[in-house]
Amino acid sequence: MSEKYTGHSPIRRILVALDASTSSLNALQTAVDLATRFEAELLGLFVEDINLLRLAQLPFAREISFFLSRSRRIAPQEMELQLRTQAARIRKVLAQTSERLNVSWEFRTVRGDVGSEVLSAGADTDLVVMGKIGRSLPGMQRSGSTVRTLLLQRTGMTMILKTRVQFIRTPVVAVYDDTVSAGKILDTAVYLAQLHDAPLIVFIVAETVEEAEAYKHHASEHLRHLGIQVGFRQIIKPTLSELADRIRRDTMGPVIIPCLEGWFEGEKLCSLIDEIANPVLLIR
Amino acid sequence: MPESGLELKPGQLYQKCQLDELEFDTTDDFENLAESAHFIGQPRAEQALDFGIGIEREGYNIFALGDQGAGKHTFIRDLLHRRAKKEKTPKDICYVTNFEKQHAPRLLILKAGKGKALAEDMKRLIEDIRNAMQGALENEEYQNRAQSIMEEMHEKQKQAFEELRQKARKRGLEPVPTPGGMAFAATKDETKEPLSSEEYEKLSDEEKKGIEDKIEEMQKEAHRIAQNMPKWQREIRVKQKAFNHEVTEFAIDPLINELKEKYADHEAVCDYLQDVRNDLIENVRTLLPGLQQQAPQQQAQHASHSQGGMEPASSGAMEQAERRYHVNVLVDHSKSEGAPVVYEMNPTYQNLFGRVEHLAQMGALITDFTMIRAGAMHRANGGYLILDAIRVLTEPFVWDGLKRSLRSGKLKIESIGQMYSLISTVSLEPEALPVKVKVVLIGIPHFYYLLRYYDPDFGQLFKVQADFALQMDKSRENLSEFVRLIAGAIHKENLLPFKQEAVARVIERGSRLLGDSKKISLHMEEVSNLLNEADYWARKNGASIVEAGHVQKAIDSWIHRSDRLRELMQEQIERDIVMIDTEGSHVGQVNGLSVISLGDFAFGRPSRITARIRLGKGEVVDIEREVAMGGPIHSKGVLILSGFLGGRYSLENPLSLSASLVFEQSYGGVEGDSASSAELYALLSAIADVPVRQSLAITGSVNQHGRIQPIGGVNEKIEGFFDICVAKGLTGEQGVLIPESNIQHLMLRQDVIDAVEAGKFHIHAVKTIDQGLEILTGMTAGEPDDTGAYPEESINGKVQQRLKEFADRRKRFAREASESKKDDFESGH
Repeated sequence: MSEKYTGHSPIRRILVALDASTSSLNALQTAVDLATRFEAELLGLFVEDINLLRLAQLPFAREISFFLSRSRRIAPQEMELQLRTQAARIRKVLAQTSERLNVSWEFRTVRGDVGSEVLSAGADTDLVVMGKIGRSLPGMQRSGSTVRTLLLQRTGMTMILKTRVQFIRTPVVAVYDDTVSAGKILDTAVYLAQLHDAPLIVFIVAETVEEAEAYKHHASEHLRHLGIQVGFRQIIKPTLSELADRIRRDTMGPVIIPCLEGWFEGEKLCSLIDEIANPVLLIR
Repeated sequence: MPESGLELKPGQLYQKCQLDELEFDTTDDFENLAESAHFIGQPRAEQALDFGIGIEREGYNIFALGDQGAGKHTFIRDLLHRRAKKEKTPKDICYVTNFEKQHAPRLLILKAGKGKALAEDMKRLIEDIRNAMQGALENEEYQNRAQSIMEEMHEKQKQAFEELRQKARKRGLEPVPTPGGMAFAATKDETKEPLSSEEYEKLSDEEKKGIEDKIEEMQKEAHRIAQNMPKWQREIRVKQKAFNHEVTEFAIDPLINELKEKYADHEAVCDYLQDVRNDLIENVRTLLPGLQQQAPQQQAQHASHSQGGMEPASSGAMEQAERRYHVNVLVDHSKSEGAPVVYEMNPTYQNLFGRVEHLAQMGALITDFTMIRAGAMHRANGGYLILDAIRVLTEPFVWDGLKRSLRSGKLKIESIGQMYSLISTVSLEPEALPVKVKVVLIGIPHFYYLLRYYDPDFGQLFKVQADFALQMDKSRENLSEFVRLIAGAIHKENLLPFKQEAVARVIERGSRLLGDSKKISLHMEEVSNLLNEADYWARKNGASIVEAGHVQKAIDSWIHRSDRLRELMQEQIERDIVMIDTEGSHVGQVNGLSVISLGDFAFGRPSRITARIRLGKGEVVDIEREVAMGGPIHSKGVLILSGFLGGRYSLENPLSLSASLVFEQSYGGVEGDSASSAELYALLSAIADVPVRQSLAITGSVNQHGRIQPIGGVNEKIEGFFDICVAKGLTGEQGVLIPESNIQHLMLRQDVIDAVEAGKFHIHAVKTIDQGLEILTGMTAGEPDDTGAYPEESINGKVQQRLKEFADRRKRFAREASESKKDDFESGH
C-alpha cells in the first residue's frame, strides 16, 4: 500500500461502497481516479448483508440461479462463504487498481444492514462514492435502497454513478438554486473543472425569470473571484424530466446538485437521479 | 655456341601491340564513351541472348556460360537493361485478406502503380468509415434507438420481475438478490420485514407448510422467467445486430461504391471490395476507438455486457482490425519503366521465392498476410531474373524450387519447414502467383555441362546457351573497339587517362595471360584490375597520366605479390637441393620444363629427366606411371616414344631394349605430354651413348613420327629456365628448345628479350626431333638411305647401331637358350 497523503486537499478520504455489482465496480474506478487527483486515501467497504444471512438460516431458503434449471437449498455457511468470496474478489480489484495508480487504500468488511453500515463508515469520510444500482434483480434500473438511504440521511458529499466517469475535458454541470449550499456547489464545481481541465456549466434553477437573473448575478459574483469562464443556462420552474433532459443535452459528465433543499428534496432528488445517467455529486 | 638457323630473333619473342593507326595520345581523346561502353568480342553470346530474350516459349531460359571474369554479368545486365526498357511494365502484385479462408491470402494483380494506389485508398476508406461510423454512433437518433432496443429487454425483465415481486408480495414473500441469483424471503404481514428464524419457528406447522408451498410456487415462477431471459437476450441481440447492420450499410456503402467505380476495370478488386463491405458490416465495431484505458476487469465486464452491441474496440484490437483491410503491395511498379531486370546475388530460398514473416507475441509466433514478403521471382515477374548458377546450386532447395516454378509457371510462397513438415505452426498459404520470368543463369562451362549431363530437367528449362569467349583475334577492327572499350572503362571508373603506350601494354598483358600473341584477352576482370592498379601507381608517383611504365609497375607488383613459391623453388635449384645443370653435357639426361599454376599465377620450372637402357623386350618403362605419379596424358606421351623408336629404327629387328624414364626429384606427380620430346632426347642420348648439352632446356610434345607439337605455357617455361640460368650465371650457351608452332604464342619478358639480343640466351624453335638432336648434341642427325640405314657418324646412325646390337645380342641369347634346352632334353631329361 502507498504512503498516506498528508497535504491540504478538500477531499482527503473517500469511501467507496462495494458489492461486486457492475455499477459498484465502476464506482471503484471513479473513486480511484478521484483519489489520485485529490491525493486522497481510499477506503473500500464491503457489507455482508445481514438480511441475506438471516434468510439462509430459514429452512425454506432456496437460491434460484438464472443459469441453472432448478433451485437449491442454501445453507448459512454457504451464504457466508459466498459473501467472503465476493469480498475477496473485490478487495483484489481494489488493491490492483489502487496500487497501479499509487493510491493509498484500505479495505474493510463489516456485517450488518448495508445502508446503515455505509452511512456509519462514511461518517468520517469527505466523500462517499457508490454505484447507482447495486446487486438487484435483472431489469432493475432504479436506485437501490442503499442509495436512497444515503440520499436521505447522509450529511457529507456523495457521488452516485452508474458508469465510469470520464472527468478529463468533460463538461461539469453545477445546479444552482441560491440555497445555503449553493456557494459550496460552485466552489466544488470550479475545483473539479480546473482539476480536469473541463468546462463549467451552471444551471440556474428558479421560480421566475427575475429570480433566475438574480441567482445568476449572485453566481457570477461568486465565480468572478475564482477567475473562471462559465456557461450559464437558466431553467424556470422545470419539471424533473425537463431538467434531466437539459442536463443530458449538455454533458455526460458529473452533475453537482444541492441535496435536500428547495427543488432537490427527498423523493424528487431520487427521481432525478433515476432519470439521468450522469454521475451525480450531491452536496449538502 | 654456333648460330643455328632455327634460333629465334628478338623480334619474334614479343608481339608489340601497334596502336599508331588509332590516332590518339591518351584515352581522354575519345568522345561519347558512355554510349560506347558496351562489350565487344561476344557475337555468339549476344546472338544467343537476343534469341533467348526474343523467343517467348516455355523453357527458353538462358544459361550464360563462360570463364570467371569474362564480364558476363556486366554484359548481360547491360544488354537486358537496354532491352527491358523498351518492354511493357508488368503489373503490381498485392496480397489482401481472404475473408472466407483467412489462412489463404488472396492475390490481386493490378496495373502498374495501381497496387500502391489501392493500398492508399483502402487506408483512406477505413479512416472514412471510422469517421462515418463514429458520426453515426454519436448521433442522438442512433443512441436513442440503440438504447430503446436495450430498454426493451430491460423492460421485459423489469416487467417480469415486477410481476413476480407483486405475486410474491401477495403471498407474503419478498424476492431478494443473492450472490448466486435470487431467493424468496417470507415477510411479516405488518411490517413487511423479513421473518427471522426464531419467528418462523414459532409458526404452526400448517403456516410453515403454507409458506413453503408459496415459496415453491414462486420459485417455479422465477424459473420460468429465468428460462426466458436467454431468449430475450437473443432476440435483443438479433435486433441490435440488424439495427447495427442497417446503420453500417448506410454509412459505408457510398464509400465502398465510390471505390468500386474507381476500380471498375479491375474485376478482382471490385470482388474484393464487395467482400470488404460484407466483412465490415459484421465487424465494423472493431475499427472504432476504444476503452483501452480501462482496467482489465472492467473491460471484461464491459465485453460481457455488450454482446451484439455496437461497442468500441481496444487499441490493440483496432490495430489488428485495420490490418485486416490492408493491402500488402508485394511488388510496386509505380516508378518502373519497362520490364524489370533483377539480379539476386544471394539466392537463398526465401530471397528468391519470398517468405512469410512471423511476429513473436506472448511467446507465440503469429503471422498474417501483411507479413508476406516478396522474393526476387516476384520482383522479376514479367521481366528478367539473373542468377549465379553456383549460388543457385549450393543454396538448399533453391534449384528444385526454381525448376518447379519455371515448369509450373506458378510461384507459391511456402516455408521450407512447412514444405517438409518440420514445423507444425499454423502458417499462411498465399494464393500462387502466375509467373512469367526469363531466367538467366550465369556460370562456368563446367556447370553447364554437368547440369546438361546429370539433370534431365535442365535441357527442358534452359534451352538457350550463351557461350562467352575469353579471347578474340587481334585484328585492326577488334583492336580499335577494344581500345575504345578500355577508354570507356577508364572513364566510367574515373581513372587517370592512359597514354597510348600504356593502353598497348594493357592489351599485351592480356595476350600474355592468354599465352597467345595473336589474341586479345576478353577477361574483363583482369583488364579492369590492371587499369585500377596502374592508376594507383601513377597517382602514387604524382603523375596525371598513366604511362606504360605504370602499367608495367602494376604487372611487376602483382607478380611480386604472387611469386613467393616460385622464388622458393628457384632458390632450391640455386642451392643444388633440386639438381639442375646449366652447363656441361651428360648422357641420358636433359632439362625438361613444366608449368606450375597457383590460381591466377603460373610459372615455369625446369626438371631433370633421365633415361637408362638395358637389353630387354622393347618396352619403355615410365617410372612415374609405375608408382602412380604419372597422369594418363603423360603415360600416353611415353608410350608414343616406343612407337617412334620401333618405327624409325627397328623395322627389321625387334626392339630389344628396356628403357626407364624418370622425372628426377619429382614428388608431386607429373601430367601432360609437353615433356615427351625431352624424354625422347634423353632416351636417344642414352641409346646412342651421346652426351646432351645441359645448358639447354626442352619443351614440346612429340608424335610417333618425330614431329614436335605445340604445348601450353611456353612463356612461363622459357622465363623459368632463364631465371635459373641468370641465377647460376649466364654463359652465352644457355637457351631453350621450343616447338616451332609455339612461336606465335611468345610474349616474353623484356629481360629475356634483352638477353637474347645480347646473345646471352638462345631460343630455338624446332619442328622435328632431328633438329633438336643436332642442337643438343652438336652432331648431325643423319638421313636414312634407301635401305633405311642412317650414316654411322650421325646421331640416328648411332642409335640404330646400338639397337641393332641389342637385337643381335637378344637373338644370340635366344639361340643359346634354345640349344641349352635341346641338350638337356637329349641327355635324358
